[in-house]
Amino acid sequence: MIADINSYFGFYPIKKLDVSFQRLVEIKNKHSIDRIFTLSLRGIFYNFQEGNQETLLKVKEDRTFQPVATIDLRMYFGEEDYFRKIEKKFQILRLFPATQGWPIEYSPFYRLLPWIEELNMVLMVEIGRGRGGDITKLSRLTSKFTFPVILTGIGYWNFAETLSCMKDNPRIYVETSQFNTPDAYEVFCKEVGEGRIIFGSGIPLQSFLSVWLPFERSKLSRIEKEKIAGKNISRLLNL
Amino acid sequence: MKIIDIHAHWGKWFFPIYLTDTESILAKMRRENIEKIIFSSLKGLVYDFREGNKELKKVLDRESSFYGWVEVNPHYPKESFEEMERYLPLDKFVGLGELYSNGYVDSKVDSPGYRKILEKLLDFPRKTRVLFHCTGQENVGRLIRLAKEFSQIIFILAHANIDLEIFGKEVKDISNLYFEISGANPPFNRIEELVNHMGTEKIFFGSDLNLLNPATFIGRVKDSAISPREREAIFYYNALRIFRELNI
Repeated sequence: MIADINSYFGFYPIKKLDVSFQRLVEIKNKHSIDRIFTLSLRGIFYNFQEGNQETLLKVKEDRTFQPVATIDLRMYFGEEDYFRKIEKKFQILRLFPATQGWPIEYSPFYRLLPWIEELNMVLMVEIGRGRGGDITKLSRLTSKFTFPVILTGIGYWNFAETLSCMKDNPRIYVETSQFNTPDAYEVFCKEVGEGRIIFGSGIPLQSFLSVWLPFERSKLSRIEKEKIAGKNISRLLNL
Repeated sequence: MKIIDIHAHWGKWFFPIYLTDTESILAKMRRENIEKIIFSSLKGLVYDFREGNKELKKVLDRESSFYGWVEVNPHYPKESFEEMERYLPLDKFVGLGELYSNGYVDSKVDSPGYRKILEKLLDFPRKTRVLFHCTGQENVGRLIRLAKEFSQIIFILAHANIDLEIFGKEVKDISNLYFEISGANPPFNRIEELVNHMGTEKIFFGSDLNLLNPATFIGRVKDSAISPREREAIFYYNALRIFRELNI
């Protein structure tokens, strides 16, 4: 079974790419992906409420897809019920601080964390390249909560910080769309265990096979690979 | 004193901003004596330009005092041409804007995509105007070179964020380069500087509404040491002269 935790659809304003939902379906069929977690780019670039609605509508077209929510913390007005805008129909909440230009040490983010706990969601956070220290801050901030935190944007440039934080905080997981080498999987398996690694490709912004093949080439056991490719996320979400 | 605001946005920002509906904007215009206003679609700027233009057209059709810029995307030249052909022939659309360097579209001002779009704009001789937001002086330099190259097009530098110490001499003689005055925290004497350097006729009033508020920039013009006639030109008559369709 292949589950992909990291995908998008919609319109991509910063490069010409076909990122339509139809394109995502084609990639899914081509590579026989069994389950795809996705969200609309509208929610990242323009308006998260409109984006979340579009995500919920689109995933109804194909049962393979699972909806992922997002919220834009730059829009926090100070209202008490702001975070209630995240609907309970979602199990995963993704945040894009680097793309949207807000720091991890950010008061609206502190306010959001108890809501994630209350909604019993999994949190996925984009770690921007060149933002060293973000993982450390995130690990500290979330250590008093029980929800899992999946880091995206993890590559050789921040492996050290990621591994160190994962050793300290058992609820931190790592997504693999920036793992460019088979040995990255091997190192993370050895140091923090295969149960903390979750496959994600970043399709259709990235090539599926360029992420899948390094994973496949890694010298992990079949059981370890099965966990990374799907069982880990199924376990986290009780699917 | 009547005002024409050439730089406004239609849509919801990802910031805590309430002013998004037609009635609120009309009330703000009445309050500040803004007679006409030119919007670009925020959705078109930060996300999907086609969807944004389509929505903006509906708004412009309903309000006689609202005009529009057509949004394009340099990464999608073919689709941008289609948008230009669809909207630029319409009376309510005045040109292309707000185009962006870096930031939302991650493109240089003189990227191949923007160049193709500017070449295509020459097919619309009544609408050869571009409102361009340039990030950093490097991009201002690029815009100046484009203005020299495309002399038939009126280039409007949004926010007038030009370093006159670097470019002051060079831009004096570029007849198709104009400036719009909204933007955060320029020096106190910014308007005077621009007027003294470029002459009053090259400067437009803009507010960046609904991200920013017109009162800020009205205050900036009123507080500047220029003559009442120069103020009127900036607030109103310069736009009326260049955007002839606003006379309709």
